[in-house]
Amino acid sequence: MHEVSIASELLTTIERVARESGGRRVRAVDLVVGELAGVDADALSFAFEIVSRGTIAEGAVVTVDRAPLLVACGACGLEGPGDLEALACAGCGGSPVRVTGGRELRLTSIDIEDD
Amino acid sequence: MHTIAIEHEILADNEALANHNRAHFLAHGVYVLNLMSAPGAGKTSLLERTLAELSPRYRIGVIEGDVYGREDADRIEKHGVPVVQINTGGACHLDAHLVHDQLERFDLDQLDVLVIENVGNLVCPAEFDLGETDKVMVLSVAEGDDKPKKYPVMFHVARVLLLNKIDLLPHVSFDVARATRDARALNLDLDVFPVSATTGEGLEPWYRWLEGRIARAKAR
Ligand SMILES: Nc1nc2c(ncn2[C@@H]2O[C@H](COP(=O)(O)OP(=O)(O)OP(=O)(O)O)[C@@H](O)[C@H]2O)c(=O)[nH]1
Ligand SMILES: [Mg+2]
Ligand SMILES: [Zn+2]
Repeated sequence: MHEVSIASELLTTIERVARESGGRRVRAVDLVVGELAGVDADALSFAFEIVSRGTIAEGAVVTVDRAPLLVACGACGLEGPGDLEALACAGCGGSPVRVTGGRELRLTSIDIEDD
Repeated sequence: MHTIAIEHEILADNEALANHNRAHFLAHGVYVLNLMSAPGAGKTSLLERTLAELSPRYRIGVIEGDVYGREDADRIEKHGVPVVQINTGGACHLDAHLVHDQLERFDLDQLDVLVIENVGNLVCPAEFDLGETDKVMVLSVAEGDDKPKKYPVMFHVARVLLLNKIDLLPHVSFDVARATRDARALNLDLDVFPVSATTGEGLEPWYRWLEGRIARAKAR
């Protein structure tokens, strides 16, 4: 359950940003989590709900945008989507492939209440 | 309501501290290995074998990470190398902070190698850079050859896969070729060594690989 650690790191950043912009309540949190980030989006949202209780971000709606696995395939020579179940290039089924995307774990924006 | 765009890596703080650790290691020419696996795959057993082989020629320190207890540190202590036990008290992984807190307990000038045995877990340690030179993962054949498909992230981040307990191959259905292929599917650079910590089979190539990496860290 490393999602709890990640949620705590996330909260620290959000609290800092919210403070810097006047300390008003955080209503929404937008994240990008790659398919190969090794982070369960639901577990992360749930963990954030728990760790943010009693803070400026309590009750904030967490939206997770899943970034797809992207690969560079030696077999077809293309860069494109990967198939995480097959561990292969989604285009031609080639494997092994070089991973070029899908490891993202990023906070992209927060919505803050106006006075 | 208004939106603030941020674009912030969530684990940036851990990353920054890991890079700080890495700079320490580089400055002292210490080769650092982050040893990861599911509980019981054989990390400590392989480490004990590796210490017996390499500690006469290299100065090696060990950090043991476990949720509770100092069983593993006690095992390592018998080999006469400096060892520190970290107990996470619940957390399923080590992070750069926990490692940094222990660094002052080692004289890095007096070390060639630091081995960090992570908490037994096939998921969480993959996300947390400690500042190591190489991530080495252990998969035992008793766990099944489907693990690369089920836990692709760990196999993706590893530099080496030690396929341990091959002495058990006659007793379990484990397809070494399949596991090797799947482990490398998202990781072209992965080196795979089938080994047995119990019999010692297959360990020579691993020792030679490690020596090459230690020499490289020293030369920098
Ligand atoms: N048959 C066989 N058993 C092994 C081998 N390597 C380790 N074992 C056994 O597997 C068990 C677990 O080994 P450890 O070295 O403690 O595993 P670990 O990964 O350090 O375990 P944790 O630190 O608890 O995650 C022990 O009973 C070992 O004796 C091997 O190559 N073959
Ligand atoms: Mg152990
Ligand atoms: Zn392809």
